[in-house]
Amino acid sequence: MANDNSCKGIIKNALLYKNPIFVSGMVIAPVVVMANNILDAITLVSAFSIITFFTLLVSSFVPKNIVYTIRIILYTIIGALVYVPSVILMKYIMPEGVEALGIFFPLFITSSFIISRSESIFFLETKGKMFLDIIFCIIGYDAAVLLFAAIREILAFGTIGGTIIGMPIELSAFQNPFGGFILLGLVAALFRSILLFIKRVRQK
Amino acid sequence: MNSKTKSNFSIMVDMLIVLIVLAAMAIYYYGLRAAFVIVIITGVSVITDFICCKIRNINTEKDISAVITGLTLGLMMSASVPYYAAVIAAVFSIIVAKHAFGGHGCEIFNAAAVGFLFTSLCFPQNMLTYPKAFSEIPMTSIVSPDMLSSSFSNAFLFTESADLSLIDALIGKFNGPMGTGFVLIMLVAVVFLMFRRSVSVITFFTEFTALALYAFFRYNNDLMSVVYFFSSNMLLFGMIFLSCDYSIIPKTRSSRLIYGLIFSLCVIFFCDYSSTENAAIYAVIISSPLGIELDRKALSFADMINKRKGLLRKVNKPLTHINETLEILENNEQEK
Repeated sequence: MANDNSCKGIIKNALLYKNPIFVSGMVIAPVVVMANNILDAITLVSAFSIITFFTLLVSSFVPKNIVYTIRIILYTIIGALVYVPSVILMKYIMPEGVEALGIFFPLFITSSFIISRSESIFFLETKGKMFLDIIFCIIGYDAAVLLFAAIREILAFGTIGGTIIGMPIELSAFQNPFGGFILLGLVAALFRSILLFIKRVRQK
Repeated sequence: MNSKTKSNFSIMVDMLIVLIVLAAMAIYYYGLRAAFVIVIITGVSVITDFICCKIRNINTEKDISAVITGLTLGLMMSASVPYYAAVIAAVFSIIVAKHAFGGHGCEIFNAAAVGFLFTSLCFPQNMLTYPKAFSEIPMTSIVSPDMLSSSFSNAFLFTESADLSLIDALIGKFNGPMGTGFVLIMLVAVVFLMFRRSVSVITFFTEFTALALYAFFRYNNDLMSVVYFFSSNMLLFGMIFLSCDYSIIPKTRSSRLIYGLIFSLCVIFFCDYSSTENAAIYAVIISSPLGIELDRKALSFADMINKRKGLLRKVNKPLTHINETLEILENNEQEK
């Protein structure tokens, strides 16, 4: 893990060593249910990115002298306010995707990024570093979801972005949440072992 | 520590003997293809386990658990299962159900059950259709669907009756998985395993009594239906080789009793309310993680009684394999 508080360290942590999906296991429920293929994953990450970024951006201006409980409620209210234009925008860009997201779209308002990570990490940093951290955490999340969705689509449907790639076997169990959960665990384990391997090689 | 390893190995050998007998019967019923499927699954399980152990630097001396997992999984398969499905089942069960949880002795699910469940979700058409016993099954990976039909379990679940003689039901001469219908052989095997203390008498009898009573009343006091009930849905096989698997079964007597009841209730629920084929697989996957928690609760309860009344764990005397919970409790006592 990159321990330094420099910009490079923040970016490395956000993308790799503290990757929100593969390392921290944050906001995985919509990923397990929704990220069946790349197209659905794009909808998912777009919705997540818009809501999370703007909610955290506005929430960072909430005064710190307000009681913690009230602050969290305020963050959720800000999230709800951000949700309204977000859903209008998303319905304009990808109407079918928003329908498919269903309950997970409004639930992004209460994601652990906004409720817990904001207070424990983001809002403790200086404004510049905070924005950098938020942006790269979101990029890390998005990249992980897209990678996972691509692997899942290949294994479960034998396609990539809807194009048939001629896989000899389709493991249809990965299409449902049960299989998605197992696959996410396997991909996360693989990701962490690669990081560990790189770390050991560097130490040697 | 040595005695624990020896005991586990002895149990594994007993299980292996029984599984080899069942495999021989399966080969007699379904021919060369059955042998090929069993060999593939067992071979792939052993190779995958060996690779995983090498990667994780684990000593595999006196560990034949992969062979047992492979044989158990092989016997649960249809004789016509495509070879690739057999390979995937073996790889999945060893990597995901065994090594992902820490390897042999640390599993919370029966590896064979997980592998079977995964492949039956991936390839339901191939996994849940079966050839007739003593029919000529081609050696090709995909067997023509004309040769296959749904299982006896499926018919019995939906019609609650069976066009099958008692003898056929007892010797497993019906459509179904390769090695899970030999009721007579399995009854002899379970007696052998009980005498050898390789399966839990408490768990087996709890399950057997609860399910026999259920079947007797469920099917209008018809004893034939009780036999059909135990022959179908991999029930007897699941009770012996899956739910009584020594690596997942609870370690205290009272936990084993409750575990047996939970398994039986799950089977009843799946059979009665959802008419799920191979209910034993689902039941064992649901009930096995509860075993660890049952042990913890039982030992805490025993510990509490021990403290209050001075009794020395008479209520929940731990069996051969003392698990981590007991060690933690003993360490706590010593610290105090």
